[in-house]
Amino acid sequence: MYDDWEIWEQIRQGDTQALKMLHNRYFSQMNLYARKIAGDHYPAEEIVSDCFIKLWTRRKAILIERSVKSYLFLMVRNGLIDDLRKKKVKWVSPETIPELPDGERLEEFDFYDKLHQALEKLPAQRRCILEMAAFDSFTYAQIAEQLHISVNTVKTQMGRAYRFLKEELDPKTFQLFLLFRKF
Amino acid sequence: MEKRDSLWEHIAGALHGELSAAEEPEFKQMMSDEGNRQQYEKSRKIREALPHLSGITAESKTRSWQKVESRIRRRKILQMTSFLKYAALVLLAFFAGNLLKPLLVADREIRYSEISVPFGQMSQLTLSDGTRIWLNSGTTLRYPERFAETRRTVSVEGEAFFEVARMPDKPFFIQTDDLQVEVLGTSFNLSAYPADASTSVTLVEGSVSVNDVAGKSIARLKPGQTATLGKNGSVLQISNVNTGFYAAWKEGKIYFEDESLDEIARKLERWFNVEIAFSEEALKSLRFSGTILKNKPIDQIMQALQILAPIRFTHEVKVNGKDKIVIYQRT
Repeated sequence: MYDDWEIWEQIRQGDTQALKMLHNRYFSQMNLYARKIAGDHYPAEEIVSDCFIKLWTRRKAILIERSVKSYLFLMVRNGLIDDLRKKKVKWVSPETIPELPDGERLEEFDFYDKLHQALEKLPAQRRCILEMAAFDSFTYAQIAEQLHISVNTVKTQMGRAYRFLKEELDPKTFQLFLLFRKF
Repeated sequence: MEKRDSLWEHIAGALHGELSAAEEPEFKQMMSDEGNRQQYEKSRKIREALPHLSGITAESKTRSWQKVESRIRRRKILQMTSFLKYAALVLLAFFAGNLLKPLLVADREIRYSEISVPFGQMSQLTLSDGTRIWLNSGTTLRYPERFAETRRTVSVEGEAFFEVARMPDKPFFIQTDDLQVEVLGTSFNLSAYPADASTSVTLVEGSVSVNDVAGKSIARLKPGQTATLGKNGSVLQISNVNTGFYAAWKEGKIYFEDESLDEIARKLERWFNVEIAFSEEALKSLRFSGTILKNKPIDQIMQALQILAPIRFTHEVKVNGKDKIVIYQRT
């Protein structure tokens, strides 16, 4: 496992594989951050992709001081503000976008990313049930009806889903997230 | 075991407002235990974080990288365009002339047939042993006219769904550039496009073994599992997936689950070999869920979307080149 600084050094030397590594490490977190600012329905994915294209084309000129990760998040924030200004959307005003969260708060997105990875490991039906309940606020009875299964099955699967997710997320992730929540 | 299941059912119930009158006091009782209480607190964090993940898909990461990669490589590609134009012409001529026509290949005198499916189309065929294969857009399948005595071998470039006829004494092998799938009687999806960064195998039912090119087994899959192998020889990853999607494309359906019009447009472009443009950026973020039948004409699908959202479209037919569809805001 290379650390961010090593990867950044490789990128500066023109290694596209290193760029890919950095992209895959932070894409989800950056995407989640952009969606949190601009709303779930905003096409933020493109903005995140553009950050990596910019990072690549300007790699020789960019000077990163604090951390690679916070630089990437800053790029997302700036890219998003430009984009919101251009599109003149009504529901977010670029002026009200908060400053870049500090290191500890950035961990929040790491937690979301890890949770998402855990979610992907759930068996298909269990995941589907959990998502209907958590994303779409379906009741157990509605889920049972939609999927042609018994309410009891929904109940068992929900319990197992939470147990699995909890076990998948290592204690470290939780501590960091709790730390964030205190502020 | 029984007791732990019950604890987790109560925790999930409490988080989703699904505790019955009888369960309420049971839950309170459970929460008097410090260990249980911690489990609940952790689950509550998960419950609060989950809605943020709605609409996030594993594909978006892959899609984003493809975009980045194509942009940073554009300069190199530009230099090759003139060459590519001729290559494309030659390929087209080849497709037109040789589609389904057996190719004579001197490979221990076994005659091979090759079938290539152009972009924007799908194909289905049945081999001499009864195995059925669905080929997705841009896929090439190579198979012997008659199978050998001891084994059945085909090769694939692209994406295909297999329903393999069971023959215990004659195993079925699928060869791709970087791995081999050994079938033990089954149906599954194989995606091995040369342009994609990885090769993946998804098992719907039965059992398959994923081997390296030399035939050595790397992993054995269970139904509902996907094995993904990165192109640059990275390790094989196994994950669980919803196989409904794979079965769906075989049937000619495309599922959308809360996807943006932009994402849907990209898929339609691939399936129907058209070009879709938006008059206003904001339209791209409209979201839809539903099922589309691929064998319906694109206009019918656009009309359905028109009913669901305040949009209208124009369809410009181009004789040489892709048809162009433009989506406008309906006023």
